[in-house]
Amino acid sequence: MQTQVNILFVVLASAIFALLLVAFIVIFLNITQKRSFKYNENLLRIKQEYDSAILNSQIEVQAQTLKEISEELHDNVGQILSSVILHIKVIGEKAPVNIQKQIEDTKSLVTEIKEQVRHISRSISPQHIENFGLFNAITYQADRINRIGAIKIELKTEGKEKKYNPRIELVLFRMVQELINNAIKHSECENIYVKLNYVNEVLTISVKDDGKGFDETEILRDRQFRDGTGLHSLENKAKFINCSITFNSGEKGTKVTIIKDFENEYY
Amino acid sequence: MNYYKLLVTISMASIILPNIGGILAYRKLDIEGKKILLFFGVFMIVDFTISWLANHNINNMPMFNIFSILEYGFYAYLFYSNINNRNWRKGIYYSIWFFSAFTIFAVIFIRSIYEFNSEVRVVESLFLVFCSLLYFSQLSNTLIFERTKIFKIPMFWISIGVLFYFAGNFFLFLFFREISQISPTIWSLHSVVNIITNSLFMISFLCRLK
Repeated sequence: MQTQVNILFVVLASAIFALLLVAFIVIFLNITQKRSFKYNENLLRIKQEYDSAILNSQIEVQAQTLKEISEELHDNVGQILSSVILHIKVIGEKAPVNIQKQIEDTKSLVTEIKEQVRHISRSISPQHIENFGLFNAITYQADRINRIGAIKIELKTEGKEKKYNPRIELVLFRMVQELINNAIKHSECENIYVKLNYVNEVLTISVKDDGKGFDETEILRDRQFRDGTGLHSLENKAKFINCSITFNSGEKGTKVTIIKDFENEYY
Repeated sequence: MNYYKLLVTISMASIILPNIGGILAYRKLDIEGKKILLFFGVFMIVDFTISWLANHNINNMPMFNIFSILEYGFYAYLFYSNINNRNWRKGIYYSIWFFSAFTIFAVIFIRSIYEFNSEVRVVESLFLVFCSLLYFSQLSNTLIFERTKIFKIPMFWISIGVLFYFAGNFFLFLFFREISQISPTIWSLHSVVNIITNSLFMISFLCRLK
């Protein structure tokens, strides 16, 4: 009788044990997977932070280098060119009348070079962007290109212009600069339209050209193409300042839209 | 109909569950999913035939014994397809031949083909419990790379079902002779385990739906 009870007990116990074993496996695997998801999320976050730090240093190094070049152009090259103009003026006073016209032409050319150097110095200076704001910096850049005459840049704003965090504005300016350069270099366009739209704390910048455009699928696929056209760098910058960037391209040209929400980042 | 008979009937009918699950999720089934559904379809026909034979007082054990080979082959094939280690795969592959040979040996030399071969079920349980533990071990090692939630993996639910059924009934199969003499109603335990197992197999299809 005792053996029979034992057998029944073992059978029942084994069924209960199987149930517990299954429950244990389910709980164990579920917890392990949750942990591994968390671990992967942390890994991704650390990678993003690392990428962001790298990009930050790149931007800082670039800003510092451009600042130094800008100062060098303004203080050194600008001064030398002023001296050259002065020298030409002195030579002009003593020179015979028959070469006065050439001297005057040379003086005008050097003055033009000095002016161009001053413009370049201002447009690359981070200080200039910080002092005058994003809109004025873009206006200055557009004027400089319009003066050359090959391509026309039309600049428009909608909404009330605001001043935001200068570091973010600097990155946005570099992005616009890169988009304008891309349009000039690759699109064979005649006109570039830049629009800044301020709605509440959201700034939307669109850069549109009337050039030949490109294959959008090519962009998504080809990393080399993205690197070559600086699109990868644009995406990195967008990620760095936490804004969105979209590319639309077709036969009538390319339109790039940058949307930055400045909520909580208002300066 | 008493409680015990009702439970046995529900248990027998519960093989419909995975088939319903498979039909509901049919559009989401890949080739392996369709193969599994086909096997469950065959299982259902076999189960109903076994039941029909029993109701007509015809010995259904020959069919049951032959079906054991098919059943083991099916589960072993699933583990063979889902386990990555080459050596274990080889082991599972040979176990199908071994089990088939053992079943034939058992029905000829140990028991008659007209009897329930508990030895065959014990060996089958041992192999399949081991296979499912092997699968879980592999799953726990690869979880870090697994993007799908475990509850969305069909093989996870099939392994749970196999482990629960064969571990839960192991001692029932082992002490089959003794239990038949002491208390035949203890077989209601098998019915309960079987219903839960078929429900788990149904989830293995439904988990593919969003």
